[in-house]
Amino acid sequence: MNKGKSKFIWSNPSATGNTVTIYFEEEPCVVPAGITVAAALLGHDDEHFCQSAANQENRAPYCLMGVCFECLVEIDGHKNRQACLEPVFEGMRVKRQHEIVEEIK
Amino acid sequence: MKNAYDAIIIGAGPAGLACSTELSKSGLDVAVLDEQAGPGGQIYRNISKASPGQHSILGDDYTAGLKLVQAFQEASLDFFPRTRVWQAEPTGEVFMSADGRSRKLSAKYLVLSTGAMERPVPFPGWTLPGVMTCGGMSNLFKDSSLSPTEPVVLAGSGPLLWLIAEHLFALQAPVAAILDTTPLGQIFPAMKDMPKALLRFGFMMKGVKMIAAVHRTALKKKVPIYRNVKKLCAEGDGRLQCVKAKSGKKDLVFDTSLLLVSEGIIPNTSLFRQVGCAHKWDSVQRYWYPDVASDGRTNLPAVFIAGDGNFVHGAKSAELKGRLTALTIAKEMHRMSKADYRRLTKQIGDELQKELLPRPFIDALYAPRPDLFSMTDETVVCRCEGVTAGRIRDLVGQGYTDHNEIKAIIRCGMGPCQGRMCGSAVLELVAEGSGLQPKEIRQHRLRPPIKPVSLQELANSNLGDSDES
Repeated sequence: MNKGKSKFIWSNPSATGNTVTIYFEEEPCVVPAGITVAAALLGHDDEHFCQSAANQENRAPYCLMGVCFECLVEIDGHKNRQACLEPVFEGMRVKRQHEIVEEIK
Repeated sequence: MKNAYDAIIIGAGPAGLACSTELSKSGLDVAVLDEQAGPGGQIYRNISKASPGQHSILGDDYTAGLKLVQAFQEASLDFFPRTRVWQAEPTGEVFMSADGRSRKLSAKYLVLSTGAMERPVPFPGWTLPGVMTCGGMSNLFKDSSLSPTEPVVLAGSGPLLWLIAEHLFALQAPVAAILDTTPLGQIFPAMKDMPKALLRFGFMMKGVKMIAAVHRTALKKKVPIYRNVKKLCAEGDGRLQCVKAKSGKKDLVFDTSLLLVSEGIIPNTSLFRQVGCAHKWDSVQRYWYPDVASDGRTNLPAVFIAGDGNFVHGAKSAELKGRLTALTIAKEMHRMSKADYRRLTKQIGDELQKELLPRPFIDALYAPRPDLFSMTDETVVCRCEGVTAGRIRDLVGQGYTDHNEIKAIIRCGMGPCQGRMCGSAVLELVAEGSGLQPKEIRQHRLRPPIKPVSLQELANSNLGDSDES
């Protein structure tokens, strides 16, 4: 999996300065505590979050408010988690979701 | 586990917070459900944890929410954060999932305060990673103070576009260009609503000053602002690399990794449609909104709607609508005298009327432009299922004018978002191809579950009726 350079920075770390470590595609990422998984991933690389189940195109968050379902990831083995709604927790394991189309059609 | 309440409020934005706090104060047993990890909705997202730096960038309109959230946190009620509601019934039952299991709650009254969302407008390349909404950028900043490092292109029409530009400038984030898609001359149809709007001169001037300040900063930072922008298009191999558009006869091309779009705000009506609330069509802002009386009542006796989900009027109005709804329920539950009810509804109703004065002008000024949904045939409309505008136009040409039929034939609106992202566009494509008025076209139905539920969650569920509290 290609890892790109993030197009975002944490400009103004959280009030507490606390961090947690999550594992994105098995790689440890230190991120501010209390933020959403979507923010954590966008702050780490510029790759996609999931592939469209219909046509395997790369997708990443569009609305960031729980409506578009373009930020679906696998969290601790559970698929179809909306990264924009899930807060990060210490030790959380996050993977990109590549659903194979035959599985769902 | 307790599962019966006097009232269940769905959505902890300004309307839900005000309504639930008020109901709890009148002694009612209240549950509040929200998808996010904390109260505040989109507008006051993460407000109780945001740093002073975030507050200073987001300004007084954000910080104003603190009082509301504090009152909510002090109120005696049950708050269920990180909870997805996937079905509600006119009888007051609510099915939800949280922590990997499903539950059923029930109440005498439901208040649906699910708020608003950005109007999803398909254009070529809008599915590429790197294209997101202005509201999405704002949420990233509120959540975690993320700010872009490479030059951003902003495109769209309406106050949110300028507000996000203001925030990006304040963050010293690089901006490549601002593309204003408002058609020239849209001010003329809006003029008739101007006198009423000017009764709230202070509010209007605040907006004018904000937009003027963005223009001044843009000039200083040499950020170009283009008017009357059309034919917006995003390109890239696997992610956004380039934005193209037209401003008059001029071709615009920007190499960029982030495009933020905003084409107005519409009520998020999915839960209202699933539960069976009646809707009306607004021909200026071109959206369906639920038919709700000023006291929050819908066509279903046990179901109330409050906030921007009712009609997009902004955070302050949402709060007032939440209060009015709470008063009505408190009176029905005999927790309030008729005299108090009359006095308080008059007082809050007057405040709301004042708040609403500028809205017709703003709605007309930033009405969706006539060619907003004139996307090319190749443009993906249904993001979940990859259905293009051309395939929808084909079906409309064959006489299909009902989104529900179109969905059954080509899966448009059948994916996890359940038509939330394609609904507006499909409606406009049907109107364009059939000559029907949108209000004559059947609405897209939502059937439960309106949010994906895993079989595991259902297996772990507690959907029984017994109240073990």
